[in-house]
Amino acid sequence: MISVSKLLCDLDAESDGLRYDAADGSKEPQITDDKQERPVVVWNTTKRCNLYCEHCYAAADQEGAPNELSTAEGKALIDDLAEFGVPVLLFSGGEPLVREDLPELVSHAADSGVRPVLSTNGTLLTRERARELKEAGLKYAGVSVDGLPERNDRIRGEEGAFDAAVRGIEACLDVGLKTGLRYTITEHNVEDLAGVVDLLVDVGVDRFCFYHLDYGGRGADISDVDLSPEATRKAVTDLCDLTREYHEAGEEIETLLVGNYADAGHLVEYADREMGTDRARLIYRYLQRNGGDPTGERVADVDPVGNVHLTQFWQGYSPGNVRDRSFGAIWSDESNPLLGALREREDRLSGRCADCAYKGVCRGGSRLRALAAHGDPFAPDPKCYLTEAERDGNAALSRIGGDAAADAD
Amino acid sequence: MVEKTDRTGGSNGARSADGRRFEVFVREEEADPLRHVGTVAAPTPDAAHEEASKLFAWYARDVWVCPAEETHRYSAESLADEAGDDAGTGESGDADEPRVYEETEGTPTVSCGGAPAADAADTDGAEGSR
Repeated sequence: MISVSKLLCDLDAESDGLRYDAADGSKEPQITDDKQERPVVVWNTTKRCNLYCEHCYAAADQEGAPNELSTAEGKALIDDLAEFGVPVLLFSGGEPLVREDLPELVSHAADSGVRPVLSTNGTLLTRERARELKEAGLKYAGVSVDGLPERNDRIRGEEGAFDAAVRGIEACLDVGLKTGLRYTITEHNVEDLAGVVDLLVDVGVDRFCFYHLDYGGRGADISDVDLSPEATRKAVTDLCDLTREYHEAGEEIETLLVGNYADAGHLVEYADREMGTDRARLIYRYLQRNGGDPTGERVADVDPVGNVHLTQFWQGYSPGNVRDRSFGAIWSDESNPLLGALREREDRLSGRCADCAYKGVCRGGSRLRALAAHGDPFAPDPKCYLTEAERDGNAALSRIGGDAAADAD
Repeated sequence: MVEKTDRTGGSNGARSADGRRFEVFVREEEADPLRHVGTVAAPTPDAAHEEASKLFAWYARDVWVCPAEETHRYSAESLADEAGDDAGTGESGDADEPRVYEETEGTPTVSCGGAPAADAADTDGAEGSR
């Protein structure tokens, strides 16, 4: 997760400490003052969902999975995560609001010292439920909207889903629960991106997370409508421009990019081109602390039946199940060949990633997309959109030079 | 005399939210023990072997794949004592759950094409595009 607004516009946020080890420089109260050593965990609390989105990595449906973790097991999992030092637990799904015990689980996380946040389609969020979750200790609700009404409803498989999601956002804002947008960019909705930001800023939203499509679950089935590298480059450039325009107009929106660490290199290049080499150098150093693609390291997932995954998108493989071993025991077991290899991936990346000048801040991008495209988790990410000159270090990095480039080694 | 470990089979039951899964065991060299390296989602044993080969069995001598649902697990520990007593959401969900909430919370206060305005607040720390 890369904060465009932080890097381009110096916007402070309480998650800077998590993302950039930058708590010292932020005026915002921080989620953590410590360098992140434990993963943020996504828990798909159920497979059941009231919508049917075309890109759902969890392949959610109207039926839950058999043998989903019970309330008691969920609480034990949370205890386990707290003991391991997990800083943030993202309640996800399916649609987590279909679980009636969600407030109880959120409260248990908050009491255990794990920051509870929510990923929801927003359509079941009433003012009453938002208030209940806030009182339980929920810190943030990310609501998925994937376009203006017509496109959103087509993508999410239900007429009226857009209006219902916006009502859910308004319910959160009404009760003082922090909320933001989640938006997965594909050919189907890239044209709506700016319009959705404009519209939701009017509602009162000031946080916008944009996801590149990853090739897991139903996301793998629609990889043919993923943006081309050229179109991705344009979309990210447009988002950078949009963020700066808002900030120049006095609207300090927070914008973030998720799921493609080619964005790291691109932000350095963008800043060098549009804002000067000093800014590009500063951004490069922040991104070094960010650490690149977090798969198997700074993000983890637990699915509805307890399988641990290396990211939430990579549901096809699990190194273990929390019903058998604690999360900490699974996550710390580097005798697992894939976990171990991912944690020393710089030595294994192949093709154009092997000698890329941005390898230190990208770490190869999505290993799941590499697996889907090439059958090899250490092959190049097909969604890298950097130019050959940028990858060779002959563009911004040649001007940043000296310290920043040397730091990457 | 050492007391025997008391193990139960309480952690059995379905282990997949996305179709068939296989437990994967790998032996690197002939003299090595078989090592459990996780599970893969796959429709057939051959597909599971192929997937495991891509992920980690690069040089392994032996790869065994066992249907996860056919694996009976006995352990001295369980995730929660009450495991299985209150079945979470399971598959017994309310089929009448509205696909879009119809409660009269009002309609959105904006329409398409609005201009920048207002403010709010933020944060999470994780991600998930669903």
